[in-house]
Amino acid sequence: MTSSARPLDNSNPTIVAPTAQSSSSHNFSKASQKTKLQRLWQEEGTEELDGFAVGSHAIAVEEDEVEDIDEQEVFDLLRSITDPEHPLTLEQLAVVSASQIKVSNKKGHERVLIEFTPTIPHCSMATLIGLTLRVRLLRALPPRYKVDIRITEGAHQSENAVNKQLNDKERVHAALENSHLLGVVEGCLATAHKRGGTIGV
Amino acid sequence: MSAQVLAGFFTDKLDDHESVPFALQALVALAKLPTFGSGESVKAYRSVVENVKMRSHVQSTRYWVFSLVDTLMAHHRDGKHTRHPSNLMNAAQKLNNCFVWYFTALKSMGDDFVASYVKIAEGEKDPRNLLLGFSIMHVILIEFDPYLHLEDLFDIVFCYFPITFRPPPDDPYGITSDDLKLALRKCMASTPRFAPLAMPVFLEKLAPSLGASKRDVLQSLTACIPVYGQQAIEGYASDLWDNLKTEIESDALETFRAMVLALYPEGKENSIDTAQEIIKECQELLKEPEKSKAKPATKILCGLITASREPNYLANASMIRDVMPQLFRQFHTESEIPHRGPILSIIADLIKSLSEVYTAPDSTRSHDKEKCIENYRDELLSLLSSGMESGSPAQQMPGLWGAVHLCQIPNFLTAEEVSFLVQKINDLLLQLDFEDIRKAALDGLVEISKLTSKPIEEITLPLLFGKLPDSAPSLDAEAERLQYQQILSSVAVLCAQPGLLEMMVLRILSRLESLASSCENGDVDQDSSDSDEATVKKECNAAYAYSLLHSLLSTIRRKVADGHHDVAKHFEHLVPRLFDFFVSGATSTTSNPIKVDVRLLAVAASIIEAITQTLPKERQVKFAAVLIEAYQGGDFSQLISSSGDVGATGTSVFSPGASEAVQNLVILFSAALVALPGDSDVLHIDCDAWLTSLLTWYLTGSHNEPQKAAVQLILASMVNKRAPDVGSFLEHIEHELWATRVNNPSLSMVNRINAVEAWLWIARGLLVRNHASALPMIVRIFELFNEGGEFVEHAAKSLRILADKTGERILAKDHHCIVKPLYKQKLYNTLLPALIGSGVQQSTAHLLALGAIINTIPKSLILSELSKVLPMIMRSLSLSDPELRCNMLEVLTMILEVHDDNADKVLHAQASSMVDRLLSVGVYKHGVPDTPSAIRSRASALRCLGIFPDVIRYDALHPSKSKVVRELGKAVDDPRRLVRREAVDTRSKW
Repeated sequence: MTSSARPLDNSNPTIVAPTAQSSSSHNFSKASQKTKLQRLWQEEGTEELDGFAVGSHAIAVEEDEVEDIDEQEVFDLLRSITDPEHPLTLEQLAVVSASQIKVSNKKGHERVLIEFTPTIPHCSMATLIGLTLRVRLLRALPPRYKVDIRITEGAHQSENAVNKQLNDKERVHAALENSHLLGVVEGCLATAHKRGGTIGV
Repeated sequence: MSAQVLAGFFTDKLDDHESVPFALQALVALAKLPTFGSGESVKAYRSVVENVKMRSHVQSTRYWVFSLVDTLMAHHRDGKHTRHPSNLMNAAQKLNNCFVWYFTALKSMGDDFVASYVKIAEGEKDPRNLLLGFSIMHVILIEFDPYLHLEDLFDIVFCYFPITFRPPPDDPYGITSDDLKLALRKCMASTPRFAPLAMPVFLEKLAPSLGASKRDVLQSLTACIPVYGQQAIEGYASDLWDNLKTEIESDALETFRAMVLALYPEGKENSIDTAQEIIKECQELLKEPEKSKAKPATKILCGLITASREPNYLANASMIRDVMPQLFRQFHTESEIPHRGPILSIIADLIKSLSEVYTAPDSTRSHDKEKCIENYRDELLSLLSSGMESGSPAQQMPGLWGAVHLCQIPNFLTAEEVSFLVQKINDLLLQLDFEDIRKAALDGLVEISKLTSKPIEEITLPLLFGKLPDSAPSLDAEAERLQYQQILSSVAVLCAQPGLLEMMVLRILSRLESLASSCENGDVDQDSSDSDEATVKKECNAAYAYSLLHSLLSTIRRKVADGHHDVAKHFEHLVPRLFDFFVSGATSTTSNPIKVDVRLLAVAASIIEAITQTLPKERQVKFAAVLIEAYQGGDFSQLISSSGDVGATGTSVFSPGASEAVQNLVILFSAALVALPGDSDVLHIDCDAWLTSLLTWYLTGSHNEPQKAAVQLILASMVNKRAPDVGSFLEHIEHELWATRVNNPSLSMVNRINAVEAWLWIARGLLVRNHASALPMIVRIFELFNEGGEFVEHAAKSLRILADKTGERILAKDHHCIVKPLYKQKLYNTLLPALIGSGVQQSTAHLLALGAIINTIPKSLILSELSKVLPMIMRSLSLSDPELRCNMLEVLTMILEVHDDNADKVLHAQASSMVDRLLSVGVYKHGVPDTPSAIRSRASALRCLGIFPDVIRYDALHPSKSKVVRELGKAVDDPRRLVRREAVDTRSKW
C-alpha cells in the first residue's frame, strides 16, 4: 500500500514500543480459597507434565466461573491490526491503547466503547481505521455487545463527521459492499490475530 | 584416426538442415573422445557457426549446439570455476587433459569466437538452453576477456534481467526460476568490465520493482558490487544509496554492506565521502529517535559498523565519534521522557553490532585495535544503567540489552564495571510487574555468565537466595508466593550454567531443612486449635518446599540434558541428605507434614533419579548395595550416612505392618533403582524371587497411587534389564496376574485394575527390548473387550501406559535399559490393525483404547490407515470423556497439517461431517461441567476447525461456511477467554 502515488499523510510517524503481550496473567483478586489452594501447585504441576521446559499456559479453573470480556481482551483483538499506511500496527502507532477502551458487562446492556487517535489531525485514513476496528469487533465479539467507535476528542479535524459515519449501521454496511474497500480492510486485518506480536520491521 | 574421419564426416553433414540434430549429437559424443583434436574442434565449431541457423531449429537441436560448445570448452569443468552441473560433468572430468587443447584452440580464435558465439546465443528463450548458455557465457567472460564485443555480450546477458520465468506445473526438467537467476547472476558478476553498462540498468530496475523481483535485483547487486569494484561503484554510490534507503530490509542491507565494503577497500585511502553523507543523513533521522524512520537509520549505521574494514575504520570510527555524542546529548536534553527509550535502543543496537563484529569467529577486528568507544565508557555505563533504573519498560529493555552487549565486547569492561551492570540487571530480575523484562534480564544474565560466572556467583545468586522467605507465605500472600516462585525459576536457569550447582544444592537444602523444622514447631502450637487453618498452612509450606525441590530438579535435569559432567559429584552431599530428610520423617514419632508429603517425595525421587543416572560405575555399585541393604534389610543407616539417630533399626518398607508414611519411601527406592544399571554385578539380588515378592506386596494390601506407580516402574524397568533372569517370574505372572486377577470378573474392580496396570507395565518393559512375549501380552487386553462394563473401559484406557511419558523417560538407554530400535513400529503395526480391524463390532472400549495411544502412533501409520481411523476419531469425539477428545483432536490437527495426497482425498470426502462434529464439540453448552480438559477440548476443536480453510478446497467447504460462521458467533461468546480466542481466530479464517 505504501507504493501508491499519493504522498503519505504522515510519512514518519512516531512509534510506541508495544507493551507485554496480554498482561492479564496474574490478577490475584477475588478467588475462593479453593482456587487459591489449587493455584499453589499449579505452576510446577504443568511444568512437570512435559518434562522440564516451560509448560503451556495453565488454565486456572473454578467451575462455573465466567471470565468476562475485559478491556485487555478487546485491546488484544485490535492491537495488531496493520495501519493502512504503514507496515506498523495500530498499537505501535498508538492509534489504539488499552486505556482508550471501556467495556461494560451489565446484563442486557453489554457495551464496548473504543476511542482511537489518528496520528495526525488531518489523517484521511481515520474513517478507514475506524471501519477496520468496527469490522474486527463485528467478527470477534459476541453480538450482544453494542460497539461504539469514536475518535478521541480533539484528535481530528472532522471528528464529528467521522464519528457519525462509523456508528451509522447502514453506512458501515454500504461501505463494506464496496469490494475494493473491503479488500483494504481485510488487508489491515490480516495481522490482527497476532495480538501483540510485532509485524514488519 | 577414425575419430578425425568421423568428425570430418559429421562436420560436413551440418550443412544439411535435416541431419543437423544427428550430426550434432554425434559430434558431442566424439568430442569427448581423447583422439578428438584441436583442429577438429575448431573446424566443428566454425561449421556450426556457418551452417546452423539457430532460429530455424527446434529447442532440442539448439540444445545440442549449446552442448557441443559446452563440451568443447569443458576444460573448465573441474577447475577453479565451478559451473552449473550437467550430465556431461563426469565424462568431462575424466578427459580433462584433452580438452585443454580444444580450449586453447577456441581461445586462439579469440574475438572471432566471441562474435560468432554471440550469434548463436542471441534470442534464446528456452530455460534449459539458457542454463547451458549462461554457464558457457560465464566461462567466456572470465577467460576471453572479450572487451571488443563487450556490448554485444552485455546485451545478451542483461536482456534476461530480471528473470521473470515461472516454471510450468509438472515441469519434467525441474528447472526453477532460482536456477536461472543464480546462473544469470554469475554471468553478470563475471567481469568488472560490465560495471559502467550494468550499473544504470540495475538502478533503473531497482526503483520500480517490488517483492520477489526487487529481492532478485538486490541480490544480484550484492553479487556484482564486489566484482565491479570501487572505481565502478563510486559514481553510482549516491544514486544507489538513494534507492536503498527507501526500504532498508534484509537484502537491501546486504547490498548496502557490499557497497560500503566496495567503496572502502582494504588498505586503500579513499577520498569519497559517501559514507559521511550517509552518516549525516542518518544523524538527521536520529534526531527524532521515536519516529519510524529512526529504525532503518540505525540499521544502516549498524551496517556501516560491520562493513568497515581494517586498516580503514574510517566509516566506523568517525561514525561512532559523530553519532554517540549526539545521542548522549539528545538523551540528556530531551524534554520528553518517552524519547529516551528509543535513544537507548539505538545505542544498544550499535553496541550489539560492535560486539558482533569483534566476536565473529574469523574476525581480525577487536576493541583493542579500534578503541572506538573507549572515550564513551563512562557515559555509556551511566546511560544504560539509568535506563535500567528508570522504571519504564520502554527504557529498561534497551538499557538491559545494551548492558549485556557491552559486557560481550571482549576486553572492554573491567570486572568492577561488569559487576556494576549485573547489579542493575538483578534489580530488573527481581521486579514483579513486567514479565518480559524479567525474562530478558534472566537471559541477559545467562549471556553474561557464559563470559564470566563470577559476578553471577558473587552478586546475583546470594541476592536471590537472600530474598527467599524463611517460611512459606500465607495463602493470601499470592504476590510473595509469586516472587519466590520466580526467584526459584531464575535460580534454576542460572545455576544450570557450569560450576554454579554446588551453591544451589547447599542453599536449597538448608532452606528446606529450616522450613521443615519450623513446621515441626508450628504444628505443636496450633494442632487442634483450628484444623482448617492448619491444613491451609500445611499446604502452603508443602507448596514452598515443593518449589524449592522442583527448582533443584529442573536445574539438574537441564544440566544432564546439556551433558555437563559436574553433576555426579553433587551426589555425595545431595542424595544422602534427601534420604535422611524423608526417612527420618517417615520413621519419627512426631509427624512432620513436610517430610511425609507424597508430592515432595515424588519430586525428591526425580532428583535422585536424575543424579543417580549420571554416577560412574563404581559409585553405582556401592550405592546399589546400600540401597538394597536399606530396603531389604531395613537398615537405612548407611544410606543416609548421617549420625544415624533414626532408621537404623528395623524400618522395613515392605513389611506388612509398616505405616503409610514408611511405605511411601518406596517412591524414593523406585527412582533410585530405575536409574541404576540392572547388571548382576551392580544389583546382587535374586531377581525372580525379589520381583515376585514385590508384586505380591503390590497386589495385596491397599496402596496409594504414588506407591503403585513406583512399583509399576520398578517392574517395567527390572524386567527390561534382567529379562533373561526372570523367566519364572514371567511364568508366575501369567497365572498370578492374568488368570486369577485380570481375567476374573468376581474380583473387585480396583484389584483388577491394579493387575491390568502391572501387566501392561511389565509388557512395556519387555516390549522395549523386543522380548517375544511382549506383544502377545498386550494383545491379550483385547480379549477383555468382549466382557463389557465399566472395568473394560478402564482396561482400555490403561493402554495409555504404552504411551506414558514417564515410561518413555525411564525405559531409555540413559537409564541403562535395553532399547531395541523399531520396537514402536512393531507395536503399532500389531496394535492398530487390531483396533481398527474389528469393523462393526467396534465398541466404546476400542475407541477408548485408540484414544489412549493415538498420540504416540507414528504419523505415517495413521495416514496409511486414515480411511479407517478417521471415522473412529469422529465417533470418539461424541464420547463424553474430554481428555479423550483432546487426544483425538490433537491427532486430527496433525493429520490436517500433513500434506499427503491420499489423506487429502479422505479428508475432502469427509470434510463437511468433520466440520459438524467439530462445531458440536467446540461450542459451549450450558450445564456441562467446565473442567480444564473440557475447556481444552473446546479450544482445540476450534483450532482444528481453523485449519480447514487452509488445507481443504473451498468447494468442499462452501456448503458449511455460513453455518460455521454462525455457530462460531456463539463460540466467541464462550465463558472462557482461551476458547474465545480460538473462536475469534477460527472465525476470521473462515
